[in-house]
Amino acid sequence: MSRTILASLALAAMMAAGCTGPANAQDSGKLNDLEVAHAAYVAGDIDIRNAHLALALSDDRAVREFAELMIRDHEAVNDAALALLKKLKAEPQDNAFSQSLLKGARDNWTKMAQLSGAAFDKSYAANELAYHQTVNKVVSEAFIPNVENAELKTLLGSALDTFQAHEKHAEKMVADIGS
Amino acid sequence: MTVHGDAGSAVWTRRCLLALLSVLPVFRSARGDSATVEISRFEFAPAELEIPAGSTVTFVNLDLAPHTATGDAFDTGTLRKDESKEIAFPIAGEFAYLCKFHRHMTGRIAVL
Ligand SMILES: [Cu+2]
Repeated sequence: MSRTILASLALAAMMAAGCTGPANAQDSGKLNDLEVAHAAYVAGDIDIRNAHLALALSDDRAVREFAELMIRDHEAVNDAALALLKKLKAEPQDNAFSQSLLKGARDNWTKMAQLSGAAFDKSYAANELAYHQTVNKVVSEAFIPNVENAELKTLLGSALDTFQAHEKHAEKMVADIGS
Repeated sequence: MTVHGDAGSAVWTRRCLLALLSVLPVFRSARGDSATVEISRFEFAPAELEIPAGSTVTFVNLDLAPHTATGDAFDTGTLRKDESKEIAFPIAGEFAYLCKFHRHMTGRIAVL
C-alpha cells in the first residue's frame, strides 16, 4: 500500500473521528485530476447527505436553514463539476481517498442517526464545522495546487469560495447552538 | 374623491404618480441610468452604489452558489450562476439588501 493511500486513510480516519486537528493535506495531493474531481464530488455529496439527515432529525431553525444552504450550494457545485467533466468527455475516477471519505461519513451517519434533539443539533453543528475545515484544507493545500487542468482548477477555486463561506456560517452555528 | 382633504388628495396624487410610473417602464428608464452589481466570491460589487431615481440596477451572479439580493422593497429571487435580474428604482431612498441565503453578504443602494 502506497504512502499516499495510507496518508489519505489516516486523514479520513481523523475526519471520521471528528478530529479538528490539522490534517496532513500535503499527502492527499498525489491524486490525478480525475481522482480529485471524484473526491471533490464525493465530499460535496457527503455534505448533502449530512444535510438530509439534519432535515429529517432536527427541529432547530438554524440547523435546518444551514442544512438547506448545504443542499442548495453543494448541489450547484456538484452540477458544475458534472458539467465540466461532460464537456471534457472525462469520467471521474474512484480512488482510495474517496472511499475513505465515504467510510468516515457512513460511520458518522450511523452515530448521528442515534441522536435527537439538542444532542443531534450540537453534533451536527460541530461535525459541519470540522468537516468544512478539513475539506477546505485539503482543497486549498492539495487539490488546487496539484491539479493540471485549468478549468478544473478554476472550478475548485470557486468551490473553495463556497466551502469557506460555509465554514464561517458553521462557526456561527456552533457559537449559537453551543457545543 | 370628496372624502379626502388636501392631505388625502396629495397622498392620492402621489400614489397615482407612482402607479403610473410603475406601469410605464419606458418613461421610467428614460431619465435614469443603468448600473450593474456583480455577485462574485460571496460579495456584492460594488457593495455601495449611488444612482439617480429612475435608474435600473442589474444584479448578476458569477458564483457557483445561488445567491439573492433581497431588500424590504425588492427581491431578485434566486440567481443561479450567470443569471441576472434587472431591478428598477423609481423612487429616491436608501435601499439596504442582503443575500437571504448567505446573510453576511450585504449591500446598499442610495437612490438620489
Ligand atoms: Cu448568497
